[in-house]
Amino acid sequence: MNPNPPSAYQRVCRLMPSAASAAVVLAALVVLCGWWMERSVWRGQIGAAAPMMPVSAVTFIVAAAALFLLRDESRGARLRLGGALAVVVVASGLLNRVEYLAGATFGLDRLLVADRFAAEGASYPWRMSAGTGLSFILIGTALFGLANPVLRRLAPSLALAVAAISMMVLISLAYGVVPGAAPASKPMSIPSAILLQALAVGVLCARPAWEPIAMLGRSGPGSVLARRLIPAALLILPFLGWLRMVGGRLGLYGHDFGIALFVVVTAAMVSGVVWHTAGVLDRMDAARVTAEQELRTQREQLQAIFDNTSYVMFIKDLEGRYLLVNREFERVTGLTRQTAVGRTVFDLVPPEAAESIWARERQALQTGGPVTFEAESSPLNDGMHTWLITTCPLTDARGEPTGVCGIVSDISERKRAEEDLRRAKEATETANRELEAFAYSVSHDLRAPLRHVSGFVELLENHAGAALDETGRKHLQRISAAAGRMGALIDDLLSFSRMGRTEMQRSTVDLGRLVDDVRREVEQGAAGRRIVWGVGRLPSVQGDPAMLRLVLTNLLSNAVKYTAPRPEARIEVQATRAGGETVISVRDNGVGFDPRYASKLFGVFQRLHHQDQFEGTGIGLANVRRIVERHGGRTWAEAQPDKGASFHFSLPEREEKAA
Amino acid sequence: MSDVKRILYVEDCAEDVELTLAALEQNGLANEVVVARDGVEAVEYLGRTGRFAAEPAGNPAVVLLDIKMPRMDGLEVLRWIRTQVHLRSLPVVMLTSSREERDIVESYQLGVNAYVVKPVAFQEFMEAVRTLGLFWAILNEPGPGALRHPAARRGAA
Repeated sequence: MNPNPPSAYQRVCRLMPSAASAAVVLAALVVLCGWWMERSVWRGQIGAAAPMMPVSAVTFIVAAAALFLLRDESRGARLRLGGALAVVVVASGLLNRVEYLAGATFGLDRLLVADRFAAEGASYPWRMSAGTGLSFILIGTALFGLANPVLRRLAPSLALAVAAISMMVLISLAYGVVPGAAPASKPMSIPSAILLQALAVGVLCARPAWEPIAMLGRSGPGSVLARRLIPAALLILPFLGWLRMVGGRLGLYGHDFGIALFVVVTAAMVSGVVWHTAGVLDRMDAARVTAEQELRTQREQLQAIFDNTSYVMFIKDLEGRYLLVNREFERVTGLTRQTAVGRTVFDLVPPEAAESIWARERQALQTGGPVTFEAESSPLNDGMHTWLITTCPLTDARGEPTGVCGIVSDISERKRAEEDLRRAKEATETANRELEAFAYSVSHDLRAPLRHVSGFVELLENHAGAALDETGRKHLQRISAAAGRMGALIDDLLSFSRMGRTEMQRSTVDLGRLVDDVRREVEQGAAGRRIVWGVGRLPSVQGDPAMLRLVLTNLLSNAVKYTAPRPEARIEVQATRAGGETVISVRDNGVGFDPRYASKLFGVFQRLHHQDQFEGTGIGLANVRRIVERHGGRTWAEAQPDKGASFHFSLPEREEKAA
Repeated sequence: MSDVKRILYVEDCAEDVELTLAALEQNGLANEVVVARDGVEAVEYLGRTGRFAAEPAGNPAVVLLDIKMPRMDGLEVLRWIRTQVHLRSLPVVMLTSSREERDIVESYQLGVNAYVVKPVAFQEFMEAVRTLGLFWAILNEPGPGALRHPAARRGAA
């Protein structure tokens, strides 16, 4: 499936054309030197064997150069030059044909090595063998086929033909036969046969993707078989034949026994190779079966996930047709798998929605990465749904796009919740604005008549005070006091409302210092009283300094107020830390209150004492609770009538270091 | 201390006008008070148009300005005053029932000279008006060019 790293076979194949070219050039140069320096062995004259002719050597060099230039599928100048050299090789072979047909010798060889032929005294004419000439025509055409699209189909067959011819020559020589050793036709020389073999292999390896050589390169069982059996057939049989012949010549066995021996050994060796190869193929097949099983397991696991997820999932082809859909897809669309496959999103939702979805899928294909988007539709007409869709491009093993996948979740609930939240927030903001307008109007419109009441009472008193009796003047005072009290109530109500609306300014507040300040302040209003203070160690906390000051002012002034009947007031302020919060407590030995009403203490305008006992508007503790709650804390109180009261508030601990 | 300078008092509420005038009267400051019943009248007075066209020329020593009024409110009047070349440095004091933060902030941003919340209790109200009147109509020296002595101008006219 995936491209494997190149196998040993592929590496050898890639090196082969260059190696063959180099070897051929080197050998041909040795032969030429053999002619110039009169070394017969260098020319391939071993025993009765014929030498390689100089023109053959030169043709071999040209052919090697052509092979080197055409060793891979390059283009341009290299291709054209390689093709031209291949034509030269063919021409050399044709020239030899003409020599044989005309029964003449053109003497090109003499041009190359001058008069040295005279000394040779050979029994055959001075020209290359007919076999070599024919082979040059074939191998030259094959080389040209590497460069030419028309002849390319012929190249491997021609190379194989050349390999067969030279093989024939080599085996004949090995067996001591000299084919066509008539005086008129010189036999092919040993080096020519070897070099032709090298060129043929080089040409085949230069295009490993072309049949039939491509067969050897693949990983399938057929190729494995071919890679093992073909070399065996090419090497074992000639070797055994040669062995039989040599044994016969040495008189080790008779002719008939030799044939029997040859057959038996051949059968044994071929069986051995086949047996070994069969084992290899079996192991390969076992591995393939295991891999297939793993693949099937994997596919079943993925299928289980695919079908049991709460997401809608599908795979589409490049035209947007569904190829694969899961169970959730069936449920949501009301289509079965069979009916869904082959349809597109345009069959499921209105055109505009389908167009936008398809556009995003094409975008994913173009960018090569996943795209996530929202779409709205109602495939089952059960109200509009909002879908969150992630689409990703799918590619095959070569990276070519094959389609897109889609993963879809229904986020309608979330969308509705978000919408509800937004509406609630808007409603709150509207209510706040109305409250603000109300507070503004209270502060202006309600206070003015109060001022008029007290103003005109005063004017009336100045104007007619003398005419009024004691009762009348007392009534006027009552009116005046009532107006003043209502003014105070309005002011307190406004400050309470402001306390809920103003932004908190958080910073680090040193409670110890704050309590000291507030204590001094409230003591000023209690001149002549005996008050014993017990203030413990107080920590620094995070909070709004102005708001916390108001909390402590309210609690401490309450403590001072409700201890007024005591000859000696005792007021304690303590802090404890537990459970991630700081609890601040203010205890007094004052008149206390009935614990049954403790829950009312922190309400707006709630009072547990009569106005003529203790003055107050009943807003102080309401402010305390509101401020503490805005800090994320709690407020509570405990008391007994006449036995003092304790007020507590907690503040959640945050990081001590202010940001 | 002997010269009493003119005060422009802009207030729509008859009761407030009466109470304020009573307070000024007690301190002998009522004679030089011009009352405008809303923002439009205040602008007319300062520009000597409408029913104030016949009034003698000259800027008052101070404008006491209510905020909430029909037609044109105090903040609009203040904004208008600060755009007029000859009124730019005219002292303006907000005298209002509103303790709202945004009114206070906006007034100072528009360049008010003082902001006084009318006390509910009469004694305190009297005291506040008295203090204002004494300070602006008698103690404060008006800026050159912007404020002139009404008597002196009357002589020049």
